[in-house]
Amino acid sequence: MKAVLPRRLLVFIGCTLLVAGWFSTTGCKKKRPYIGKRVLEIPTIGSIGSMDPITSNSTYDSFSGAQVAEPLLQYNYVKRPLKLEPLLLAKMPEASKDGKTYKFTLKKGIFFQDNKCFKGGKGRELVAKDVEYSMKRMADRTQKPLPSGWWVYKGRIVGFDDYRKTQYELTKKGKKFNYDAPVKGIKVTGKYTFTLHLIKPFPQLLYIFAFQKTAIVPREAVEYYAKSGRGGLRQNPVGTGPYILKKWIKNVRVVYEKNPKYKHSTFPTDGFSKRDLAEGFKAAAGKALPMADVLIINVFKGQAQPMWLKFKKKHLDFSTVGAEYFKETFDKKRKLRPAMKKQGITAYSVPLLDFIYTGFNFKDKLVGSPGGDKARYLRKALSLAIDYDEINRRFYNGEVVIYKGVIPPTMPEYAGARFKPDLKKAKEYLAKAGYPGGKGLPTLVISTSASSLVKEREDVLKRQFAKIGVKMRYELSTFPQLSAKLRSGQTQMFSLAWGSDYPDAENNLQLFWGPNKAPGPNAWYYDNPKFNALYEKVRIMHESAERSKLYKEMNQILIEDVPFLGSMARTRRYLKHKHLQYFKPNETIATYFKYLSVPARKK
Amino acid sequence: MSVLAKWRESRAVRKFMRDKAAIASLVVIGAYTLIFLWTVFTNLDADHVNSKKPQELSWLQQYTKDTGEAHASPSGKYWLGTDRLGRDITKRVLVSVNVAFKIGLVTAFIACFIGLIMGGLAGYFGGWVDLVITWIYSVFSSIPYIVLLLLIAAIFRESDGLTGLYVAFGVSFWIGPARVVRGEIMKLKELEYVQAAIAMGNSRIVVLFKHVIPNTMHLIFVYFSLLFIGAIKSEVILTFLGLGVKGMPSWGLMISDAKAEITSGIWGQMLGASLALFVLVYAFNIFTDALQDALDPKHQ
Amino acid sequence: MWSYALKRIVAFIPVYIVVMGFITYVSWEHMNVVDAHLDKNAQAQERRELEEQLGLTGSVFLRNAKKIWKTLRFQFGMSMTKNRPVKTVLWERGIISLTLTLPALFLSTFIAVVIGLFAAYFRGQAVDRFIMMAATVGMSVSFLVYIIVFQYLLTFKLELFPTYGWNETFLDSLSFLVLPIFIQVLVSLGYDSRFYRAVMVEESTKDYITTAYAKGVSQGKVIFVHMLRNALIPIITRFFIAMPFLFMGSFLLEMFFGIPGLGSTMINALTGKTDPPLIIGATAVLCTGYLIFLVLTDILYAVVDPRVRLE
Repeated sequence: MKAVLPRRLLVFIGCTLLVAGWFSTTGCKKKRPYIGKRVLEIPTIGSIGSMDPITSNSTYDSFSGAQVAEPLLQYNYVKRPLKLEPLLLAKMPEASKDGKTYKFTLKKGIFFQDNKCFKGGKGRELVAKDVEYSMKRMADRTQKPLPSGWWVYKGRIVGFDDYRKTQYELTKKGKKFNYDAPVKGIKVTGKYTFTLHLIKPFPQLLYIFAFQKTAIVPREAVEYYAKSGRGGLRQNPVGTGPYILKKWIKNVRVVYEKNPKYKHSTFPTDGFSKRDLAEGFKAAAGKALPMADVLIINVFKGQAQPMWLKFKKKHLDFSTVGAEYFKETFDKKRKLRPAMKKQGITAYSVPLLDFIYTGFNFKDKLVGSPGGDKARYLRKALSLAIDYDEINRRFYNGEVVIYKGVIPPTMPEYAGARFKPDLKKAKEYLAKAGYPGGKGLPTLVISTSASSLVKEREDVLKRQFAKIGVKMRYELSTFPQLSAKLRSGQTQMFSLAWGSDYPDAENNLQLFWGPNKAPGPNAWYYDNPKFNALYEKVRIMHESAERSKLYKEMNQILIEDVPFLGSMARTRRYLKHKHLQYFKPNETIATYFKYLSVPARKK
Repeated sequence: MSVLAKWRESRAVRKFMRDKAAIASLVVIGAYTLIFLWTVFTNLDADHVNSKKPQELSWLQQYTKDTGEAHASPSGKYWLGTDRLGRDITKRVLVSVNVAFKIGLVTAFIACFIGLIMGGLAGYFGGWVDLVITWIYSVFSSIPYIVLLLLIAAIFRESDGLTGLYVAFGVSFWIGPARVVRGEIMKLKELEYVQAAIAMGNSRIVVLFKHVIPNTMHLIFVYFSLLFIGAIKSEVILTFLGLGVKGMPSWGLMISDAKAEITSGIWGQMLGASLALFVLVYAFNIFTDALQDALDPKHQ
Repeated sequence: MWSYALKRIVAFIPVYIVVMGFITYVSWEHMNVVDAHLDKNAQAQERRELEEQLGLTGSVFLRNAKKIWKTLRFQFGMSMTKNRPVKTVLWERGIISLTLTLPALFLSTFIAVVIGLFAAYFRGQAVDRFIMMAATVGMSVSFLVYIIVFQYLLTFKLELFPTYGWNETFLDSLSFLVLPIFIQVLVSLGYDSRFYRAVMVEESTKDYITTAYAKGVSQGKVIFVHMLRNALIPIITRFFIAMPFLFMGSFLLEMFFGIPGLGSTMINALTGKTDPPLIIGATAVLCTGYLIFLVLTDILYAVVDPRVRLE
């Protein structure tokens, strides 16, 4: 009897203590770290999966991994349109006349970061053998997960595909992957030099070497961290980069500290735009990098709200503007509101290399090749009925660029803004297609992956098509389900998007090359012999006026043939606080955080 | 119906009528039901509404029309303001009753039906029938509720979301009624009059349906009420996760949209949807309590 | 008694096998795993290679049998989204979930029992009716609304607590836990208070209570000593049944407050990039936990109520 009371009293006291403890920890603020240092606090909205270049899949992986491990080339920070420049190389690679041989020369005196994987903990000098090794890792099918970036080398380099196949057969029999076995097309010719032999000319090769996927890592790190079992290079990246990974709390934040040995890259000295000059970029010309001492990437996995709130409280140096906060930030004319300007916030617009469209499946009897000319008139009718301005206004706050063809804005061969809907012409084409007023035309089915507002979008499209008498409906599925459908050609029309891998229109045009059809990226099953012939011609051409002309011609063929309704490219808006300097946001230059500077952190 | 059941029923009804809160809750539920019927008899199909001009539509049918003023503040014209696509929030709150009731009714019905059959068979026949059914019941209850829901919702993602939800909820919720029915029937089958009925030569099945099951109906009613609300609340959360209803407006959709709006000071949608949901759930909770009080003399 | 326990355990083994078999099959075959993990530039060859690596080639029956056998041996492999062993992920994130759910469970049980006792003590009077009304209101508000409103008021408007985030060590993260635990307790209080009140009321109708009063024991002692002791069984049972689910955490709270717990990890493995090994591993842990606790409660009942044992 008596025993019960004291027990309950104890529980009560225990709980009170716990509660008191919590409140006290909230009350007493922990001492802020890095006082007196320049600390960059930046956001990322997606979670970071892997910092190992060969399994670096998303933009978030690339941008966070690029701080530690660097590729051979990078894009110049300030020049627009984007221009490649050497990062680990002494000069741009030299291509032979036939375009099949490239000579690379590394810069001397570049060192890997200090790390316990090296002898004595000191990073050694970068040599050509490291490049060979890093390339071979992409061919290693024993890596878990499978290196998803093999496609950058597939079918390009002499003997590389054979090497990959042979090694796979050997590993299946229980042998280890042999990194020392030679590849015919990758020849190390000296301590700092190597040559690549290509199967056929590939003018976009240099873009590949700006991908984070091809970043150079030291063999010691790979072997050391594979043993310790704590996630290999994915969680413990090592490279030549400006920042050293200090701490990584998954889905929360990544903390990097400045690499004191970083010498091989400095702040650009020319190519500044008017805005750059106005913002004082010249003062940093030629300065050593990185500009800050500590870099903290705050991860807001899919949650725009906490990121926005933190930015407003000045806990983040810059932020993107989520759709929900657009009206709060920009007025009806899409200009920054005075309330924001008063706080010293500035806004930037970054056009994205998007190709957002609604495609037609050319295997479909109604809208594709079997339908012949009639199908083409139908496609044309639809393309003249759809009102992208309304879609832009309703769903994108008017921030999207609507354009003709497949080449996105900022590329030299961009075909310009799209014309307005023309209902009269649309109805004519519809009649020519054999469905006057829409009579006899079955309901069109557009496959799309579900997103918020998908029903509203369907309603808008329904209304637009109804104006010429056409009926349509959406068929919803998850994104993987949609991919599966596309790879097996089970759609009639589909809504999708493509982001360019590099700023060369070839990356978008290749989508329509016949042999690329599903299960490749040519989800349209588009196979036009004239287009194919032109593609086979341009794919081995280097940048030139002649090539641009052909690009434009190919784009025109697509505009005439209407394999898709479109296109749209988003513009991303960035905001920054006054204290952040040398900020020129973009979503392609993965290495750009090293150029950012902030004042030293006060108490 | 047997004498026992009749007696219970009249006493229960009288007791119920004495509880003022219960009457109030019934009135509220009635009001919602009227709104539901209103939405059923109005043609709310999006295609139909979109093809007509605002003047041709009734007040409720305009729920999906853009008024041209996005994020308008609550006023005499738009009691709760408008949402980001300019739609009148008050109308959307009312139309959401349609989805809520559909999910509540269908799910509760499916779950109670399955539960009644399974629990009935298990409790009445005992032996290996009971063993098998209890075993099935253990299988379903040991999969975490949310995993089951998500797996099924993911498999059924194709459609407008409703079919998947019906299956998912039905499959997860039948366990409660089954367990309770089984327990009750195990007690009931020992009662004298049941034994007597069997001894008199009536087939066991007939006895089951004529005498035993009707006496478990009070439990089923209570569970129906509980599951009706349980389904609606779960739908709100699932829709928030992106797995629920997609086509029609629902409170879950509205709350998830409103989440970002409140930091910009726009509270109309949040208030409207949460209040509508709260009042319905609260009324049902009161109703269920009163129901339990009335039907089960032991319940306090 | 041990033979009883053993019987129950043996009865549950086929349950476990069927559940895990089902989960393994559905996660690998019906969630479009391969498509979720392919690069956008992938072609047929890449698809085949990935299928091979994931063990999704060959006869459907054989490959699932192999996978189910692995699952039953508790070999869960590597998480496909986190790239670390599933067991490690489950352990680390489960612990984090526990730091939210366990204190919340203790607190809400404690508070709810006290409230239930008070309500039963003052049964029928204004206090009781008020408490019951408050509890009913409490349980009628959607979890979502609680989170959104409190997060808005306390972190945004009043800035009393951090909005979002987590720190490496437990001690550092305490301040991030206060608000989520507060909300979790608030949400459960409605249901729990009503339940415990009902338990107390049930107890109060029993004979031994009338006897105690007749013997002259004070009302306070009757309630807080005798009744509580006998009501402990349902209290503990309810506490026990909640245990296995603590590990998974409250996924809504984790998502909103950025707490890297098992709940939000599970949701992402199911709705985001499909991660079958993780789904299977988490379900296995939860299922096992649930079944173990089920057996424990059964044993508890058998210990307390001899009639059950004789069944």
